[in-house]
Amino acid sequence: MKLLLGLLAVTAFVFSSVKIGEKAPTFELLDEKDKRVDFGKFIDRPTIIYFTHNACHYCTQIIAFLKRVHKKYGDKVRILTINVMARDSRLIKAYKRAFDLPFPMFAGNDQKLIRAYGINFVPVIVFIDKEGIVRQVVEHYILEEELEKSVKLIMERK
Amino acid sequence: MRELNRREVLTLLLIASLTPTTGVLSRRLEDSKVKSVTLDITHYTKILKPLKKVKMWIPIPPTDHAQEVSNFKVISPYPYRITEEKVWGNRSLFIERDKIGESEIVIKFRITRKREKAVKDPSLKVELCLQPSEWEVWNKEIENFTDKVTAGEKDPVKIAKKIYKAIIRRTKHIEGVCGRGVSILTFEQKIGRCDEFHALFRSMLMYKKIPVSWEEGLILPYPSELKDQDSYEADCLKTISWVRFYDGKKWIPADLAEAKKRPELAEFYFGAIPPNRIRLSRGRGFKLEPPQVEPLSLFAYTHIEEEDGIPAIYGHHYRNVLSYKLLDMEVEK
Repeated sequence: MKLLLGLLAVTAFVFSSVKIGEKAPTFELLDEKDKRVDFGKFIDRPTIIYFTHNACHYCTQIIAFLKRVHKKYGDKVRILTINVMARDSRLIKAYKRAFDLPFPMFAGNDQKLIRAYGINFVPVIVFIDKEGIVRQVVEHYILEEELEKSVKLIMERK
Repeated sequence: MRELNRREVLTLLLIASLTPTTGVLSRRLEDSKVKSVTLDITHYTKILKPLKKVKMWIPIPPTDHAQEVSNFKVISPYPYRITEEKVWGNRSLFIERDKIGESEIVIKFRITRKREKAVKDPSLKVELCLQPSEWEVWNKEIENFTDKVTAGEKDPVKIAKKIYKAIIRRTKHIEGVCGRGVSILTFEQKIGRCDEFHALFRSMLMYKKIPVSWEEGLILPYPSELKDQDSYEADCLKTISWVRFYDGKKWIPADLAEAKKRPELAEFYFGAIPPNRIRLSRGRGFKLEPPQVEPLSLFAYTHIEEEDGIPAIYGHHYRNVLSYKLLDMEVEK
């Protein structure tokens, strides 16, 4: 299985609606307090946007990788998570509590957001540099070492 | 998988020519020649963390034109009841508790799964199979594409075949993701796994007023790859969907994703489905009995909701595991 996942990681294709080299689209989404927040305001540094939902087994493993990125890089890298199953704060509060998430999660069951990012399956991980430009999109499970390379990619950009 | 050397190929050919047409020894023959498999299945719902105010629905396989289920048995530490939703007749093992701890609910059954082919099926309602789910709503671009591909064709089978080929040609198959099966996104992105292929196929056929059902279940290894016994995670990656469309007389099965994965069987998968799957439900977006809060785009693994209908997290709160034991395989002469 690890070999298969590794192959997926190296044979990456981008099918998402977001374009590499362009500004990441941003939207107002509900946060865990049911407050509408433009998540674009958080893209003020190298940022990872992670799309997930509750029925995806591998997605929970990526959460563990992201927590380790957060621990290693702290405020140098922003991590935003979006649960495409969540329609309001209830589900994301429960999700954040379950994983003790140290970064924000937004309710992503929003047709405009899903269309703009083309989220027809999960996991999807969007890597954005500090200028807000999309540098990489990974649309499948990611190995931890690949995640680390992608983090370095967005941190190195001038 | 490594390639066989010449001696191994010759040995296999010799074994194939000498073995009877039924039984596990025949399993190296072509998947499309396998008429049925009989297996003992054990399906586990493993609760990994304590949960409060729990409602749990575990899908139960029906007996239908392509599968025969017997020896059904439940081993549960909690009281349960078998429920049936009204629209499609999908059945669940339902449990409701104030709290549950680390535990497992086990379902055992024997299944003879047959190669699926076109059949008359009064259990399928034509009107229901013309109603798109919220994930299969189509737009003008999909209509234009469908019109262009079918180019005035009137015969439903020929229309379906043209759409089948067009979707397979333009859509890339991907593994290792949990699909949402949204037609418009599949049309735009041209990628997906079974749910994406079949959502788009359904949209295009329904636009052409051809009734088409959504069949959902868990995948088994290809007949040629079935072991005597094995077990695996029965999560969203192991779900499989397929469709059956109506030509006015019979319901014709098709699996576009498998046809994409196995081009040598692309013709076969239009009109036939090998027996390496277990059907667990039919339709999309239906309300279970009793109704769940979260709309489900598919129902092929356990769905658990906590207080206020918050869905439990797969892999964190619970898991599904499927074990099988192969009892027999019937192969075409």
